[in-house]
Amino acid sequence: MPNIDIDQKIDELLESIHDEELEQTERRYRDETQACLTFAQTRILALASASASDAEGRHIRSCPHCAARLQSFREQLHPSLLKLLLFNLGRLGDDESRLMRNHVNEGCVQCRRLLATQWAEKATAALRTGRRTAEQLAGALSRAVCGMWSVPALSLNYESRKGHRAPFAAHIEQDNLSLMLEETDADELLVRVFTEDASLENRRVHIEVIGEGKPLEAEVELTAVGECYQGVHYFTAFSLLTGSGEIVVLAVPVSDGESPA
Amino acid sequence: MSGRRKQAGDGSSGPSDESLVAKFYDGDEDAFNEIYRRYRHKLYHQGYRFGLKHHDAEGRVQDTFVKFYESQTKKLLGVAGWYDPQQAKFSTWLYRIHYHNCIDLIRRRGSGPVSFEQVATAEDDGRPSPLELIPSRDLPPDEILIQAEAVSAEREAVREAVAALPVEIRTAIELYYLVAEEDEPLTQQQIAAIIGCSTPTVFRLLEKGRRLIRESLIVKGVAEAGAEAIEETSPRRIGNA
Repeated sequence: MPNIDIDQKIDELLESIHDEELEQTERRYRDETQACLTFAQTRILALASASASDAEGRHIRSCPHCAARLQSFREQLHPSLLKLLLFNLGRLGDDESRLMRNHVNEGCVQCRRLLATQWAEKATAALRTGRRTAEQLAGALSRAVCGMWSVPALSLNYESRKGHRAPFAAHIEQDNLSLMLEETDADELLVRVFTEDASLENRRVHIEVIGEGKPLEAEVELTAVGECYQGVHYFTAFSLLTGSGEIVVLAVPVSDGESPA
Repeated sequence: MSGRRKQAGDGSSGPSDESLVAKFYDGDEDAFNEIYRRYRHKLYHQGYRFGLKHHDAEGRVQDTFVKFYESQTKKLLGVAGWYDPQQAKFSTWLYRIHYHNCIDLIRRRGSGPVSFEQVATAEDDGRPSPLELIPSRDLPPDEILIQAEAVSAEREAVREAVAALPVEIRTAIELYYLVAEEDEPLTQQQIAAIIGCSTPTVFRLLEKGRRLIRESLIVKGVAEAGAEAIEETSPRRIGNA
């Protein structure tokens, strides 16, 4: 068979492979239904998770398209902590500054609260005075964990408060560090920081919880517990912090012998 | 080019991508949703063809469309990163974003294309083609294989041959043949814009790819060894440059 026929055959076979595979892929997206969130709706949820209804929450947990979409919006919309600090100092380029200003002015609760943490204030001051460089802070932040969660409102009827709602609990993992949050019966927020990274043994971790009341902050030391390293703190009067909105929690490893920033 | 799919205008209907993008940038969410519907499975297919597993391929699809969605804000703010119809076709812009999304993930995991130009211009140094290392199948040696049962064997042989290509060559072949719009395949210029190399480099990569696939089919007995390679005699055979 001359090569010209082989080449034509290769063309035809490659095109038939394309058609077959594309048809299979198209079928995959037929499960996207009316129940799926639009991009506009997903964007709103990425900015303020408290706005998700129970039905939306259930759908996102069961739909791979919507779950991936929400994750993408969260990653693309929210700048890194370091970028937030540099924005605070006016050290971002024009384009990035404009995007950042738009994002914060859009009312991003998470980013505004992160900028209001004691940690951010001290880190900004350290950058401004030159005590820390952006690279050093980037290194510290590479091991930081932060997240935002909605906390349902407490009933004002104290007698019926017990059992009124399920206690708040959350869990987040980011690379080296994990956070577990748990509301106790004694109106406390238990924060457990843990890692399997041995290089973080005996390191202190600065924790801040920012809600509608006065921010709560503490430091814990990561000590060995079994095969991981853990630090635990109980914040009291949790209900005064939460109101009916959201809380942002930040945990950043502290360099030895130094203040949080 | 023989065997290449039909040109645009044959069965394509509805507004152009570019007009939909303009409407979206003016605030029309339905226009965005239409573009999403047109391209979601094609982008998923591109990620799948680059070797991404289902979860990662889906993640990259959503990443790309979120990036496109957020480009509306960028246009409003006058910040770089939105689609300009003066610069390229919308499909080229979208496939390029998606290509980089996929390749960034693949590279973080330690593989992926390194240099398209280097591979395109590398001389054959007498070593056996990588495709010769694929075990031969027990196929009829001199049939043209046009029967239905033989067609699926041929297709499988071509699939294997493509999968075994060096990654730079495979990228060009897949974008040209396997990640194309039904009625308007990607041109070599578009592929060059997507992967970030010159059009002649894409041409050379496609030529090498086709030669390696041809050799593989001959080695496997799917096709006969024939006359001298024809790319030298008909350099424009690999279509619309």
